[in-house]
Amino acid sequence: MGFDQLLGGLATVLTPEHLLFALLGCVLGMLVGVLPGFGPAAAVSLLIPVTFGLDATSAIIMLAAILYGAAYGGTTTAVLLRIPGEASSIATTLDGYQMAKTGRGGPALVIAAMASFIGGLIGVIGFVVVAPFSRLALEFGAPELFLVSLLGFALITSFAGNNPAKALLSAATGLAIATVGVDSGVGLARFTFDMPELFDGVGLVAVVMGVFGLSEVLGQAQKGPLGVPSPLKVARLMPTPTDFKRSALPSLRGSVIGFFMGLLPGSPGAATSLASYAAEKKLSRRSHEFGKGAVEGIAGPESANNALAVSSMIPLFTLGIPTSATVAIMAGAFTMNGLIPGPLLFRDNPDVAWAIIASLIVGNLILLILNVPLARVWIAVLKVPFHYLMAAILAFMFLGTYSINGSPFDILIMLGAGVLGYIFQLVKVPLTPLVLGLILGPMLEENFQRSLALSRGDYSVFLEGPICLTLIAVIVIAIVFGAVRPLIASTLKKKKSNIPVAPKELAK
Amino acid sequence: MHTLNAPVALEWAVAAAATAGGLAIAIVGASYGLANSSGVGAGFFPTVAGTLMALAGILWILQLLAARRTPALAPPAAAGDFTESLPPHHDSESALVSLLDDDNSDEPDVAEFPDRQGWIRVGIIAASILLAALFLPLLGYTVVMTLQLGTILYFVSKRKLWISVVVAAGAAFASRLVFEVWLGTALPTASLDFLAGLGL
Repeated sequence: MGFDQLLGGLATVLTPEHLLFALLGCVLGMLVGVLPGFGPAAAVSLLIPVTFGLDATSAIIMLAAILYGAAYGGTTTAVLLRIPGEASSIATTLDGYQMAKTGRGGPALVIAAMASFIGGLIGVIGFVVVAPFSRLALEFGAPELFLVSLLGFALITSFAGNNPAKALLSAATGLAIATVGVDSGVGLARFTFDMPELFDGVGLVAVVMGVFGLSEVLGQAQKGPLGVPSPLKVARLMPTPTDFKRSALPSLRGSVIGFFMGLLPGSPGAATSLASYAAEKKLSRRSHEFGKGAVEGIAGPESANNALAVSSMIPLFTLGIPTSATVAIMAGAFTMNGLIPGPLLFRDNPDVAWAIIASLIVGNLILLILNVPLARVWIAVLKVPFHYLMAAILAFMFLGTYSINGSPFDILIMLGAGVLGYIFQLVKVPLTPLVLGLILGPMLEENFQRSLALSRGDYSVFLEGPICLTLIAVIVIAIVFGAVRPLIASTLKKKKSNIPVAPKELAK
Repeated sequence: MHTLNAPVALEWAVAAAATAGGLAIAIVGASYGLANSSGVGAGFFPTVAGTLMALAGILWILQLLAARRTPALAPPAAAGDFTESLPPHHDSESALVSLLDDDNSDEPDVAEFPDRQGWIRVGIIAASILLAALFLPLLGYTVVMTLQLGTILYFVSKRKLWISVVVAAGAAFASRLVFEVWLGTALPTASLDFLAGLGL
């Protein structure tokens, strides 16, 4: 097991410098996370430029803290405003807001923070148990690596959105953008139009900031002035001993549910928190209190969310495959900092890898200590008129994108990606496959070229050995399941809508 | 003859653009060479990406055609303030539906379709960023940022002119100060002598 290495990682993180960056990341993440529409993916993509100039470990620690801060920002608005910052906070609105309505907003936030911490801790323990298996991936050759990349690509595309054609379009667009620049095989310039700025390809940060940041700003701007309801009061902060007792087991159960769900492609956050909520409602002796302010309804989903946030990083650390947009952006951040996500990270930079894993615990601890007492401060951000916030975000994005290479060209890339992302949102094309295509594209191409170069052009190299055959089988299953999934979901929905509603329920 | 509403028309336009763009990428990609002596050529992956794009576009068009033949169902409930709508169902069966259904927790919320004013606001922001990027080397950061923010605050946010100018200039100078003094990142100055002489 890697618990010794985890302790080593903790020793690295618990230095004043790294703690400061983790703290700063949590604060910045919270600030962005409370803004309507800005979930962890948007927050991380917006704030990547803040980490420019930092060493790799500090940068990734800070970005991980930003991710957690943004997620917790969403929880705060879910409890006090009934506005979930992200889909996975929806379950928290059910009982969190009801608790806040009865003057128990403080305890709801504390329980959410404690459950999140437990979820994060259990997620990290699971991570440590699983991490050594990444050594197996070191045995992979180019064909296996190509198939693993293809699997990641197939899984995320199959699970994104309800329309396979739109998901495929998004993924293919990402792949196409990834081919811009000088080809790694023969050194031929592709789609560069003789522009030197494009020889190194299209900048990942500029695209990610555009797709997830600018598109969100444009989406908010189209609505005009944004009305945010008055937040409920935090009031008394500490939960009662009964609250703690009632939330203990749901936190543990939620953590286990979240951990395993995080290993699934797409890291289905909303489904995980709803599954945890449903489990608690079924198991609780006080199921009638659910929806009226039951602490179990906060503890379960919140711990599940955080365990999921940690375990969704496992495929990235062990195989180098991001399974969600946020993790894909983190993968991009790894690459920018000269780190190769995947099993090589543990071999070549074990100190950095374990420091990052340890920082997941520290980031959660900082959030636990910091955010509940400061909940009023975060909510005060929402009192700043949105037009000023929007202008500030745009200025920040402009500066951040410019500072990547000191070139206005990156701003144009960000703008193009933002407009594309905005239009994709309007026509309900999922954005995650696009980012994943952009990140996995070069890996796919490089390993494909290497495989065929090694086999002298013999395509049967991808069918040799049990690993390749297993991977191909899983890819086929993923594609087939992705094609039929919307049909199954629609059938289940229809079945549910056909159940007659009792007059009594209608009266409610 | 069918009259398309704006969202459906946009879907048609994007699907058609994806098909045409995908084909163009595939054709140009193929011109880079699909194979070479060591295996695949530089054009192989662009061709694959373009073909997939075109294929996705065609599938989408077929779906749109099929949807035109299907009688329209009752219109969906008007999207309102979140506070007015209950969060999704939360029983175990619905959790399963949620898992199988479109659940992209990382995805931004689907934006409502903009009206004319909405398009104008989006257009102004996009145009202001475009012009700011193009004029950055000529006018320098401070002037460009002041103009960009001022435009957005005045035309999009409908602030008073003097408030827009004061806030925009203040933000531009403050951000310049932070980046250059605190973060040590040099921001571009104007290449016009007059502005450069003023230190902008």
